[in-house]
Amino acid sequence: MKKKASAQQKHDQMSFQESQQWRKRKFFDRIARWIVNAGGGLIIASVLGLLLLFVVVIWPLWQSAKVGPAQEITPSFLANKPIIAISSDEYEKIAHILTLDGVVHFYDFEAKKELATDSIALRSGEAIKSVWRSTNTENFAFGTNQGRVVQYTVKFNTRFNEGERSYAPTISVLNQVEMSPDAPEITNLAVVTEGEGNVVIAAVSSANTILLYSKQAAEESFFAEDEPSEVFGVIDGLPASPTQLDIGEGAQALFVGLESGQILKYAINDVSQPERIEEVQGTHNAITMMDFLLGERSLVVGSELGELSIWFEAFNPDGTGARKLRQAHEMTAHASAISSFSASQRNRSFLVGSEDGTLSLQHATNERLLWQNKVSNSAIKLISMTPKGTGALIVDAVNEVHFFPVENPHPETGFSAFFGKIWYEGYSKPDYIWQSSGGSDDFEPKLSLIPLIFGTIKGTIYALLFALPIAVLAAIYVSQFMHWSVKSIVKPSMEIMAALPSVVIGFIGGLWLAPRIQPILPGVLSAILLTPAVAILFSILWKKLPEHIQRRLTAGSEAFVLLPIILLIGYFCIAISHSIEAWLFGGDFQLWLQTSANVSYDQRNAFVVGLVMGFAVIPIIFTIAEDALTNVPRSLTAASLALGATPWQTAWHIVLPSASPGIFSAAMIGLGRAVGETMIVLMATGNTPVMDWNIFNGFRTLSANIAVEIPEAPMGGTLFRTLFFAALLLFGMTFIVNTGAELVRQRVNKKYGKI
Amino acid sequence: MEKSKKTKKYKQSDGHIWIWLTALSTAIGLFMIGGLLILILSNGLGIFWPSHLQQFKLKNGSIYLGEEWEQEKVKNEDGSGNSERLRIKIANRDIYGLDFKWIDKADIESIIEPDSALVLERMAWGQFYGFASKLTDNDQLLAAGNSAVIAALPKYMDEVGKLQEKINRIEKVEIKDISYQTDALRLQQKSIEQKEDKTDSDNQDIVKIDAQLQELHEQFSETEQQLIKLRTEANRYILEMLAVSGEPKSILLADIVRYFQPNDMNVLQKSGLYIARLWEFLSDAPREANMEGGVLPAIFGTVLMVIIMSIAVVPLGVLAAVYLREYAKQGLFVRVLRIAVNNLAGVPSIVYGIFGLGFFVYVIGGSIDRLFFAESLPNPTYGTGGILWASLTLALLTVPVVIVTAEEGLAAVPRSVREGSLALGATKFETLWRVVLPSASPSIFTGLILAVARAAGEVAPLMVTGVVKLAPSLPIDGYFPYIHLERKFMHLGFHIYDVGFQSPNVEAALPMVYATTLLLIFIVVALNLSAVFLRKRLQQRFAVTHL
Repeated sequence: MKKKASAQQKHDQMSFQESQQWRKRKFFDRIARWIVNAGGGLIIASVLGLLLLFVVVIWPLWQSAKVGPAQEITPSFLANKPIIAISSDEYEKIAHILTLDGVVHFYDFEAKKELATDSIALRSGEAIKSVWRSTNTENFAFGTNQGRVVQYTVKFNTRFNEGERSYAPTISVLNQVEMSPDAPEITNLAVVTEGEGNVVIAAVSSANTILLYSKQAAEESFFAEDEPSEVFGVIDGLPASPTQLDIGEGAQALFVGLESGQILKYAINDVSQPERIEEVQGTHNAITMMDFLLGERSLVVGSELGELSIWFEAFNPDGTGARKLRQAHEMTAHASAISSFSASQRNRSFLVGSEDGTLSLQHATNERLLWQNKVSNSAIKLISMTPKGTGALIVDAVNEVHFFPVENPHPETGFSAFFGKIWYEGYSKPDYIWQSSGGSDDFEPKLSLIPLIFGTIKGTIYALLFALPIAVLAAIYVSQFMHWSVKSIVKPSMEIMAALPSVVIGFIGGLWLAPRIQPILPGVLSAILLTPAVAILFSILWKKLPEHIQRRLTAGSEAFVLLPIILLIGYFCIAISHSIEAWLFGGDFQLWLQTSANVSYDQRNAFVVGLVMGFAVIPIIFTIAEDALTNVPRSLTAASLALGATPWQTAWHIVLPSASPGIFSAAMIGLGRAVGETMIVLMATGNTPVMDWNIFNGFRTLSANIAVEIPEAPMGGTLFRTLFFAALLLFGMTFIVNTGAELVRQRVNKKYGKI
Repeated sequence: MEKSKKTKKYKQSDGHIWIWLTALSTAIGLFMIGGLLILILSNGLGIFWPSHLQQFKLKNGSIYLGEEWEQEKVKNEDGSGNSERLRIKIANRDIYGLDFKWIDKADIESIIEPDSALVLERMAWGQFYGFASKLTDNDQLLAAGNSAVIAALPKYMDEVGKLQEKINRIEKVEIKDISYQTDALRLQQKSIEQKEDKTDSDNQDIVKIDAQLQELHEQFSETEQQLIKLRTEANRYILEMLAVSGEPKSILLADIVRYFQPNDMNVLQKSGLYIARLWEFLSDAPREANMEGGVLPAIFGTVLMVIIMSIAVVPLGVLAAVYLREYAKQGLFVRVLRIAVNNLAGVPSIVYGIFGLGFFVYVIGGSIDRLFFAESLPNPTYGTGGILWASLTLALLTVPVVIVTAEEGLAAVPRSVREGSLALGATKFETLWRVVLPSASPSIFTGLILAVARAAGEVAPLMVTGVVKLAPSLPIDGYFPYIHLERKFMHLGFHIYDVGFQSPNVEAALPMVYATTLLLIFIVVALNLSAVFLRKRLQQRFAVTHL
């Protein structure tokens, strides 16, 4: 009894211990389950995170600009004196305001207080009649009713002192010119300073003539006079009265917009003898606004009906003829006359205002309307975009001043910019161009992805053209005909080839193969033609041999018999390369290509890439295709052979069709590898983003482009985001290809599962 | 009669031509691998062998001393057949400007191999081929004439070598120490200064640090003085050389890495030199814009990157595989997930690179910088490319390989084994940990090796996430915290790209590229082969579980 009780107790104790241990084990089990599930979640999260990151980075590229909300900053000191010119410093804190009485105010519009004033003395009875602001400098000029033109420059003189900004804004008068002894009223003007002290002025006098003036600074030469040389000139006989003036092309050309809508171009390299060299109908209505965009090559022309167009000098679409003013872009029109304009100093965007108080932000190159709104009940008189392009000062007809914050980080982008033909400044026609960086400040990035997609496709096609037949045929041979003892060596060595780092392949292609192929190209091409021919010939001759010799030598090792033959053909072709060149191509194959086929030859070209990409693609296609061919059930081949089919008939009619989905899948995976391959194309092509199917030209792929350009792309910039977009495209391309291959593969697995 | 006709017809349609064509494709494939390997082996192994210097006398009287590099047939300009020309390496970049020269074979009057020709490997300007004329010590003549100088050289080289060692120690240890301490103190000071409300003790600290900095500065100038003294001493010895064309050149003994007379060496000596040069390649830092010297930092960077990647990729990959195979409910969701994983394996590596840049470097690295390294901003610490981010990017790139192979391994463990374990009362986790994972370990291991092989050869994503042509310091050194994962690093694959395509003198750099290529291929192929063999070994060892 006692014994039993103690046994019971013992049992209880044990089960208690056991259950405690069991609980602990259960606990671990639960933890493990939790961790593993979290791990599964991690894969999903990383795939989604990858996509999410791309979307987050790319998103701003597709967004329109944000303008506003406006802050009213009308200064109290104006007392109804009309503002005739306005500009801001680059920190968007201080405004320079010129009023009609010739007084210059510096106004802190953040703190709403006046910092300083200065004035340009006007003579008695003199009144300002016209104002000019240059596109991208802080130079201003005005013309008066007494025929005088005054040009001055604004300096904000920002200083930093222990993190605090302080200003000591000043103006200085650069030039004062009496345009004519008759002292006519100047109703419009354009003033351009070129280099040190050179200035060119064009001014419309009330008599509908244009007065010209130029001053060359004194040259520091032995013979030249010390005095600067001043020259005057006159343009008259205009077909209609001029409304807008612009001086461009390094102060060599004057553009005049007329009331009749015509644009006239005068050569004014000698202002005393201006010569009209072009006359185009800019619009059918009076030109009310005409100004340059950044870079001073594109003219924005606005009419009294609110039409807006962009003009620049370009050759005919076929690249011939002289450069002529041509309308390149038609912008979104306003509902009433265009009254004011300001070009961004960062890109080809501009703000334009009209009589009905509508303001719009547009990007010239891709004709994109970024933002438009009615901001005032009266006409917009003046617009000044700040130097960084992140704000604008607007003055309307009732003399109210507003500051509009502008957020316009990526105006150059958008669907049409990436995938459409865009007519860039100076080009003869719209085209697909990738050129992301340039030397000058006013360079415009050209971000068409089409040449890169084209390059990717070109590289892939030439690579597969070479790799696909070789890989698939080799897979057929190795799986169906090769002797098993050799196969166990050949297959792994092909697989090892897949592991060769692509940087090695690229190096061999770019630095070893490319320069060696160039001089013996005819030999290489003839080797490509000759090798299969010789192999066929050899096989026919082989068949003629007595059967016992055939049996002895080829037991599934034909490939090794052919190896020395390939070597011989290769040696032979290289040896006769020069003779072929002399015989067929007049001694110089590249010259022959250039003259008779109009094909240029780059040393690093698609041909070389096609060859070396084979090293990367052949093993992949070979391995998967060979597996698919080997996995065809033995019963099928056995049945075929038993019914009397030859090995080749069995291979061709039985094995190949059964394995075709697998071979397709192999080809797709090889394609995916070729599409995304970076180092090989980076090293073995010239990376020029041209669109040309020519096999002897280089190209630039999406992947190589990313590798080349991302180190120079500042984070968050347009190029940075565009490269992310290119990466997403690449991801998308390979995703489609790989998913296709994977679906086929899964289906094949099911099919063979049943057999 | 009829029968034989039939046989003939059968023979014609048996498609042996096609079989031969498929054989041709296989042969081309084999030819490509073999050719590539032979090309790299011959070019990569040959460069360390000291080849003979030949003196070419041309018909126009000019003389060149150099080693024959290659021969080429060129077309004559007038089209009258071909002529042969030689490319010789004439070295002496500082005199001739170029390392190589083409000579028409027809122009050569005579070729001799002067025994006294001397090769100098220098710290800068590449090699020098010529003849020694005299050895001086502060304008005092020590030896004159080629043989006398060569006889005297070892002694003085030894002396200079000892001085050089001292200089190296001061530069690499003492000065580095001082600058490291200075940097640390400056950062400390800056972080105190950035505090919103400074207390008195903070201000005292700043003063204290100033004093320490001053002390370090004095220490630094002292060391620098010492260094200058040593340098002047080492620079006393000057070797006057004559190029074959007669130009004299004074070379500091301190600038000479190695000297030898290739025409006067027997095979044994040459082998010794070969091994010495090979050892230098494997164990030294690069010099002369990476075109000479060794690749140790690149080997180090590659290996460390691969190790960090392995630490990240194995748990991640195995966890995912276990989830897919053991825990997840098999269905459409898992099928989609599997497609996604297989898809990730096919995503171009540059896409991973740019993801690493956007996510690891800018998002995570940027956050780490703001939280923990605010005092050194705006200079990024983790917010720029570095070895950690590159390794993690490669881990993401290779994780599908590990998942797929590990899953295969898990699938191969028979159901009966699992059921046996569960029936004996083990929990699911215990079954997994004690029974299933050990049996699947060969596959996991294979997956890891394949991942490592892929990672070791991958370059494109690294170019975006932190590889550099010349890293100032290794990611591991003697300063706290010893492993600096934020540092930029060098990599063998990138070294090939950089030296081969970005260096100012590609022709002269080619031997280096071939050697690096060979090394990289050796590493990658060895890893792949070891994967194959290990898989076999482990399969045999764990074969018992497949009963």
